[in-house]
Amino acid sequence: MPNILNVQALNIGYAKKILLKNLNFSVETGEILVVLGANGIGKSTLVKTLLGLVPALSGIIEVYKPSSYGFMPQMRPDQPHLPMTVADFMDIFSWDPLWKKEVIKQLELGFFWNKQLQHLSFGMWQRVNLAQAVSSQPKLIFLDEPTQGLDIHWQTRTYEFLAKYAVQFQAGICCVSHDTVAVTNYADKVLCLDHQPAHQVSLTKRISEVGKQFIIYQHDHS
Amino acid sequence: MSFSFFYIPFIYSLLLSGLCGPIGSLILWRRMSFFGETIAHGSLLGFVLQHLLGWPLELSMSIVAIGYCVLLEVIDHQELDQSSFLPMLSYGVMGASLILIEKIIHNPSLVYTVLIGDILLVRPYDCQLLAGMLIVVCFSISYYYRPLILILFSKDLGYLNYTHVRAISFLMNVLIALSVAIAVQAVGILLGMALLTIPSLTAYYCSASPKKMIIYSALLAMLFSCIGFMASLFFNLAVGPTITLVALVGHLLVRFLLAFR
Repeated sequence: MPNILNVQALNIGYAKKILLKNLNFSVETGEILVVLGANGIGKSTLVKTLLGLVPALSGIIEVYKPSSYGFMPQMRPDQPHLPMTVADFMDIFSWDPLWKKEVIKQLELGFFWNKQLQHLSFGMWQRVNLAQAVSSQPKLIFLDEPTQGLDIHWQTRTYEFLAKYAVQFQAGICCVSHDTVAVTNYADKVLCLDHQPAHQVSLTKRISEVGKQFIIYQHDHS
Repeated sequence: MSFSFFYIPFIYSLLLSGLCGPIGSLILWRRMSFFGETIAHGSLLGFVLQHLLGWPLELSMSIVAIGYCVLLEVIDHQELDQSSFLPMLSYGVMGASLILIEKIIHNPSLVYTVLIGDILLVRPYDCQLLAGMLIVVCFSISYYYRPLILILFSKDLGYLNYTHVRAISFLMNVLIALSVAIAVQAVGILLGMALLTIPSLTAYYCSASPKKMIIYSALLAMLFSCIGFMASLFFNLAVGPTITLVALVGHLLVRFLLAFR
């Protein structure tokens, strides 16, 4: 399968602080890449760098034939003094009408379609957030902890939805997660970022047992 | 009894109410109440510049307002905390302005004029200026509605879906600042800020969508203005403070009624 995202010798970080060095990986069409790592190691910064929101310190990021990017950031629904229903929020984005119906059905948004955003539980909001990320049927989607706050049922449903989407639209999906269920059941590749070599080894063994391709980068504290 | 002296001020208050809808909502959504207050207090500096340099009041107020917007950009860019930096700036500028008014302009009553204002003194020109501002604000907000709402949730999503998000954000700050400056130079800080914030906060509790909040804010501000004008006429009260008081009572009444709904 052709690569949709190709990263070579990428260094990321902010101004004077390098977070991760010499990253090399790719995402092919129809593939899910899960990025694992400890808190503060630079997972979200990596996603923002790949999206062009944070400049790369050096290296190459090649993106092939994307119609557009999808992005599911970590954000909260309860904006103060902003009355807004789920339906209003969805209208901010560009949708194909049939696809919109399909997403509402698959993510079961109809139950709270006319509910005010500030009255949603965080789990409900995560489904709304996921829906906006796929609104324009993008070929490359980045998700920052998409299953945070979801119950086990919806964690599974979310990954099933993403796996189906990747195949249906021949899209590449890059997903930051702490969720090992995602790694064992749905990831095609795992990018493991950790500064503790012992953790890397144990995780490598676990991932190897389920036959996943994995790439490990050591966090540099110097 | 002739009410002819009321027509221009009444039209002005209706236009200001119309501006209150979009600008008041923007102030609340973007959590910029204190920025509005800072601009309002900074208007003292506008009056000082007018007296010292002989500039038209509208020009000196606009320069101060845009100056604050640029400073806000710097604060955001440097990732400084707005809530601690703006008060420092606001009170510093106000202190300096008060000293200049006392020692150089020798007109202490200017402070009272800036604070309370007098809506009965507005001119047809003020109405034209406000009408122009209202048109620009309505056009800008309807044109940039989607990115404007999106960046409230996530600036990153805004940058990804729309180009020039930073410019749009700056434009909205400028519109807020100029609206506050124009309102304050004509009717004082009290009525200007009261009409730009209280009706929008009241409308928030009755609205189901951002667009409805804008419309309800404008309608509520018009209602408060009409009742305030009537009350000031019949009870012989100062117009600005009366409208402000009516807006506050209206807000409390709406909250009370909604609590029992």
